[in-house]
Amino acid sequence: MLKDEAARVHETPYYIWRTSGDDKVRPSHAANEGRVFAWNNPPDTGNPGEAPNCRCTAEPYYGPYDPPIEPVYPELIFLPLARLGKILGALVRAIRMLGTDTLTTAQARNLERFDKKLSKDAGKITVSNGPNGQRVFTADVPARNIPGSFARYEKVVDRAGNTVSYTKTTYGPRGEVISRKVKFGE
Amino acid sequence: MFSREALLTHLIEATIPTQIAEEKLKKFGWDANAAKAVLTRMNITHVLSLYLEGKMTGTQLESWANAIEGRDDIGFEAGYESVLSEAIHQLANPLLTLAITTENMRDLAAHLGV
Repeated sequence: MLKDEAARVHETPYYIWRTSGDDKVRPSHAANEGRVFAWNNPPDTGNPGEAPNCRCTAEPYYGPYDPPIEPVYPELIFLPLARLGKILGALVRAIRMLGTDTLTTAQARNLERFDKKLSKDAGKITVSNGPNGQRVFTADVPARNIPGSFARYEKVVDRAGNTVSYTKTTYGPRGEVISRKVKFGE
Repeated sequence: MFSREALLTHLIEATIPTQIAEEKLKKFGWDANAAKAVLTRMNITHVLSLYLEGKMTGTQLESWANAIEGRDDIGFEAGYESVLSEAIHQLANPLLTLAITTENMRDLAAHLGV
């Protein structure tokens, strides 16, 4: 029977697949048990009773119809996850670079000088936005003898790349300010 | 009236008080694309000897190093950049690195090998 013909001759356009429920039911038909199909859009197994010796039946279905959702296989999960990982990685890199990609050439040169003069123990320099196009370069240098203590070097640079201020603040192990040295500005 | 170069030289050689040198240098700004004065191992051993001879206190030594630390317009003796940078970092941050004591400063002077 043609699919469209099947749809016309049945009570409703849709049906619920029912198997005979015994151990002779083919696995591919067992997978259809309880699922809603359209007569003119059957699964790969065909409509119930069409396959040789098939004892499955169609129970008329009167409710709303959503096309059947195909089973999700692991490889189909891993592929999007891998893509998602790449997207997240790019996002993290973009956030890390936030600020540095918007530096003016003069600000970028100042950042290079700032970096060059820091101790070899200095951590990563962070760049944040200040008012009126200013950028703030910050780097922490950990203590060698007091765990948790560190010196924070902070330089504020204007849009033209000129240093507005440069400070060094020394922190104790509990985050308390031990001293603050204004090297320039303020 | 001192030029920037002259003031930096006075600062490096500790021939004028650090605070005065810093104050006068403010008018030149902080930035410089090239060094206008060069700090050598001799300069550091000189201030270390001032400390060891009791002519400079530990606080003054720390302030001197702090005034030099990070400056764009002060370069380091060729071939000893990392040694000098490290020495200035230690002297400017005694709390985080190495306490300014007679013994430590003697060791540092010996390490500079002048």
